[in-house]
Amino acid sequence: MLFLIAVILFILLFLLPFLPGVIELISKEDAEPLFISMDYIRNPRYFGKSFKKLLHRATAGFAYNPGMHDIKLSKDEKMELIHSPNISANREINHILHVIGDLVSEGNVQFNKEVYATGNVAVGPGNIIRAMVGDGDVALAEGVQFLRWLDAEGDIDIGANCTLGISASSGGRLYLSKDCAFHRLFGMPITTGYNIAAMINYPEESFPSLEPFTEEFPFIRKKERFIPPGTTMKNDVIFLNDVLIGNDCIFKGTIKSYGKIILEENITIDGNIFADGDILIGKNSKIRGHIFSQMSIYISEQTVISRPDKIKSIIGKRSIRIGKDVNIYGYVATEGDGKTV
Amino acid sequence: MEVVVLILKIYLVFTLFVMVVYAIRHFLFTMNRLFSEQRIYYQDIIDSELRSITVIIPMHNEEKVAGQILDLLVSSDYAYDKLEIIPVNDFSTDATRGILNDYASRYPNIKPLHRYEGQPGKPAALNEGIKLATGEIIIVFDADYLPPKGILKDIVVSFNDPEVGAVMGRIVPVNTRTNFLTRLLDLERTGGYQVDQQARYNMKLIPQYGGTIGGFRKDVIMSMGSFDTKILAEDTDLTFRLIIYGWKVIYANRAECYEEAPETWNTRARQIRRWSRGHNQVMFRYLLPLLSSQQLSRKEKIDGVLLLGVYAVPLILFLAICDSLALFFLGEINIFGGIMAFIFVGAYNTFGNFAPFYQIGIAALLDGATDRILLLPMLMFNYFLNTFYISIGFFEAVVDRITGRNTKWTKTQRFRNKNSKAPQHVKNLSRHYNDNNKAGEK
Repeated sequence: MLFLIAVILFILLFLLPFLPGVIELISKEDAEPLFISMDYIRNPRYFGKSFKKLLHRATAGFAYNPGMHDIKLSKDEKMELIHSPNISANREINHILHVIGDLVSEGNVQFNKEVYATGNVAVGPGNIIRAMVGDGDVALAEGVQFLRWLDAEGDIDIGANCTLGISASSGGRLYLSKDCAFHRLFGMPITTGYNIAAMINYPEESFPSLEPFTEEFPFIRKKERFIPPGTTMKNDVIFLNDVLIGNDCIFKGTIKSYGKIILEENITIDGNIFADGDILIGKNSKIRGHIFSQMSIYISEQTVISRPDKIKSIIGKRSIRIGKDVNIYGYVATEGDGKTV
Repeated sequence: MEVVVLILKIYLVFTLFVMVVYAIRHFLFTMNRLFSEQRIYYQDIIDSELRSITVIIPMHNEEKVAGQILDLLVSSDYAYDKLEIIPVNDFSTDATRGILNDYASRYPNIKPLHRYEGQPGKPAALNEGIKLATGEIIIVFDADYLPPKGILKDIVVSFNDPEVGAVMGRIVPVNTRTNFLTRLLDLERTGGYQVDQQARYNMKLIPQYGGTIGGFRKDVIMSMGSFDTKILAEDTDLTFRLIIYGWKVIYANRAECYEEAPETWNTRARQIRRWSRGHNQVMFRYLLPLLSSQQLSRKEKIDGVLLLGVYAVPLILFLAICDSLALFFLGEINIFGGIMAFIFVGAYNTFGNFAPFYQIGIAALLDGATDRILLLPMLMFNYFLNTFYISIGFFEAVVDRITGRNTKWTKTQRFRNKNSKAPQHVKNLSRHYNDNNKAGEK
């Protein structure tokens, strides 16, 4: 008898680890394949485009009468349709605002739902806005705070001390004053200065026609920690350590470092910059390609990234700092904190 | 007799050492994914200047799946004038040829290559495809894959980094729900990519190019010589050739793509046997060049050796089990006394059999798929199957090495049909594309 009990106990204990699995196999609670978004494509202006699409779908066949309406986006929502309003100071708006024409808000207005304006938008100081998309230009006064995102078909002018949520994107120019916080930016250009014309026409001779690199291997690895001022390099270069690149250097290709890259002033790079460490770009540099760091990126004043007809990206995992009079044609993103300084 | 017993004992201790080394490796990878700062991949880079690419899809009797992958690729967001698609019909005897010709007539950038001469098999098909390709970057998909709309850009963007020779995306089984086997394979894939590959990318080791959902530079492969048709794991072969020559292979966890996992044990057995044979062929070929390469750091070399050895470990363990039985019946199992014996047994079972299990558990956790972790103990069934067929594959590779014989590629059987249990959003997408195509034909 004891033997029988022992055998039964043994079998039970042996099978016990499989019991939860058997239950899962039968119940199929978690049997679906991991989700992959089959339609996903990278679009720096996704939020604005997507919201407008949802809103247009929800209001299709709508009589555009001013007043409150019930609409269904991802859930039931209240939406106020209004013509060219001027929203007085200190108001709090708890529904979606659909503005036909221009929108002006005075100081300290709080928009707790999304705002869509078909015209231009002027946002007063200290406003707090969940999300906003405009078909025209958008101008933000100082200290405006976005909780989610901002998008405009036209230019966006952002005052000092604004917080730009997850994403701020523009179909035109995206101007940022000092001390603005961001995670993602898109604009043609993104700029921290008004001296745009000079930047757009920066001279082609910045990229002198160098002899093509002819060695068998398309890149070279270097242990040097310092590249003397005025050096010209024709090919892609991988630096195995932190590297300091002196004034007036010209690189025809891409540079990459397993550590930090510090560019002094007036550097020209025709390719991209990749680094496992920080990337510090000195004054008056011109970079034609992407800038990508697993750490932080600092861009000093009067630097130009990319060209008016090209979209390039600046990706800094931990943080990005952008100095004064910088022009970037394309996309900027950080998982950490981005700031204009 | 004493010498034999001594050898058996030494082998057992050697096995323990190997198991502990691999256990530490799995443990480090898992801890890295849980607690270390993760390296970001290049997918956030947005670039208006796209490189020209050629997507090569080797196809042998793929009538069940050929249309779907082509539909998805032509619907990709990659610039039409930069995208060339070469489906390589490799000795198909079913309707694959007709399907490819039909697509070619509708889409000028689909350029099928029909092969009915020369050596069959994926490496040979790739070699022929690469010769025809005009793209700067070669992207490879197996025919049963379902590439999402944005995946080509996600893969290609990494080649802005001049060191990157190849990039590998993440495989996700689409038919998880089908049966017990597909659920276990789903767990294996999860652990292999979400933890193992990503951790190797984080730690700047050697992520492996897996032969599909990935790409490489055309000029590099041309300069290194085409794929060796005798090697059954052309992907592992490429990985080691690249790193030994100084290129990097990187992993893109966000470049996810559905595949069809084998639905029968026989199919899985044939697949794992082929993988083992091919991987071990590569091990025999590249172990010494890897160790002597001037292009690799010490930690890359260690990881490379361990990576090369993964398909030898099940055999080592299998032989150790036989060894321990022999020692037991010889009355010589008492290698260590007291607490050491306890540690030995614990290590042997925990690290040997279960080392990848916690890696898989954490991977599922990271994916937010918590209930499927309950199936972990059942992976032992897959483990037994793997051990047996991987061991056979190892011996085949040994014979290949000694004789230099030609190998024959055995294709993995496809199971997709109208009753396949694909996720609803994938079915909707396929239906959408099929409707579009029908409309186009009208």
